[in-house]
Amino acid sequence: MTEVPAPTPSPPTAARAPWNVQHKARLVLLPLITAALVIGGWEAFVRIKNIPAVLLPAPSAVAVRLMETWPFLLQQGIPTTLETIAGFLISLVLGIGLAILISASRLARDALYPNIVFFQLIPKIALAPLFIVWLGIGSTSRVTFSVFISFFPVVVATLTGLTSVDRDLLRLCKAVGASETKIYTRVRFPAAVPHIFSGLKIAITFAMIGVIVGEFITAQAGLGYMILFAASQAEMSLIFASIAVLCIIGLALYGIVVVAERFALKRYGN
Amino acid sequence: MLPDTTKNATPFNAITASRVRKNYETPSGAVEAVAEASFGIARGDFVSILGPSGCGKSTLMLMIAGLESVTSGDVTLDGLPVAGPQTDAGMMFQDPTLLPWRSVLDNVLFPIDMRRAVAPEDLIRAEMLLRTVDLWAFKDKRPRELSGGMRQRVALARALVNDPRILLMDEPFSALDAITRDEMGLVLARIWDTTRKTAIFITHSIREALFLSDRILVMGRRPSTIIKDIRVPFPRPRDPSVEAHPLFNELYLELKDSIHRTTSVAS
Repeated sequence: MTEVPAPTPSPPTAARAPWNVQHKARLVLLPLITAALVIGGWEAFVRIKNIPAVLLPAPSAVAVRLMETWPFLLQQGIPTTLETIAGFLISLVLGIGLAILISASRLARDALYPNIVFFQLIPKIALAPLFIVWLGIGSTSRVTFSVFISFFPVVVATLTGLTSVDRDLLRLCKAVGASETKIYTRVRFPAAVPHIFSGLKIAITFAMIGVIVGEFITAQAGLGYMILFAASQAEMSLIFASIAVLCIIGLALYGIVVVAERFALKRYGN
Repeated sequence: MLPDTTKNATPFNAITASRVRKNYETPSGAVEAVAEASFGIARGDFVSILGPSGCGKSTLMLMIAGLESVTSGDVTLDGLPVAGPQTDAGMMFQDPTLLPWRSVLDNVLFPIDMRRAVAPEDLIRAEMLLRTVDLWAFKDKRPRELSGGMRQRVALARALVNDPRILLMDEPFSALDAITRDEMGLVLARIWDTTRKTAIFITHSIREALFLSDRILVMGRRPSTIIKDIRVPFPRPRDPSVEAHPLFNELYLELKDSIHRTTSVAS
């Protein structure tokens, strides 16, 4: 008895190619054109209404400033990036570790999980000054705060993944005499990988936010500090230029997690 | 005229259940899932448990496997009382529950490598089973590349790979379309005939039960008991032509009547 497996998508034929290209072009061009229109509108608005540069600079002014200062801004970006990565990696380890503990121990779950949910809900950013008071104005306080706001999504996501295994599959594991450890390493953990990555995508974003807020308060170095400094000098274009560089770095870091996720889902996804 | 045995007189029952009851605690109070079930299953028998949805068939099977505790009563397996999960059972469920990150071959080997290292004999056995279900060519594929019926065939190979003492199958074909379902019934009958393992098969398809089994237990609605226990007399190996046998239709109608009686009386 031979059977035809699930059909894989056939490669586009010559007749289909134009539609395929058109579809992809539309996906890219449409948002680009919209963004260009908004920026164009911004530029026109500033010029026509003669808005002073200290209030709202024109995109062209921002571009000029960016050209002038990008090496310097990138240099300021280094501490921000490094602290973000440090915060993220610590969150990853702590978050996954805590989730494993909670899923394995009923006591840990009943004691810790409600508190974790509580911390998920409160505005943690408001606690940033506390960390500065406790840990000083150096990297330690910024990275610690960054971990504080980014590790909860990792815990919750990992926990969801670890407990999402099909009940019947778990019954099967017991019925073949598998130990709890083996069930964890061979079934629960691999099943949790897609969930963990959802948590990591949130964590990388939050880690960066934590570092930037920390830089706002400690005002020492980094792009957060640059924004603060530029604001104090009423250098609006510099603010926007710093934000632009921050966006690029943030997107790059997020992109790395997304690429890692794609590799992981190839193996562990459904 | 119709064969009807209650307690199986064979001295060496592979499975016995004696006045087994199961109550569940729910927020709205205790629910009685299985009222009282008593039966014996001889070694090498293929037994179907038939009954309407929600009547506790799965609960009964889980209690026999030691995966659910018994509220009262005894279950024995090969003479020994069932105290916890039996580690020598092969199981199949409505959902194939294959691991998406493993290949077909690694999925079949799963029950073995969850307990110990995989030995060459295991690979030979896995290959034999996959060839029997016609999926050896797909051994390196992932479950997502297979259809539902193919996945269930992998699940069947997996259930047999560790040479289990008993086979427990909870509506394994219910989620398949009618044609695939019939095919799977043939595959199962064919494989089972070569191994003759004591098997419990849960279904609510009367025809499926009649085609596959040596014996059929009908469970009533919750709180359920065994309301009928019949021997299926057709010779083995079973063959689709058995459905043309006049006795087949007689048994079918009799079973259908029992089930309908239980579902209407209880309302």
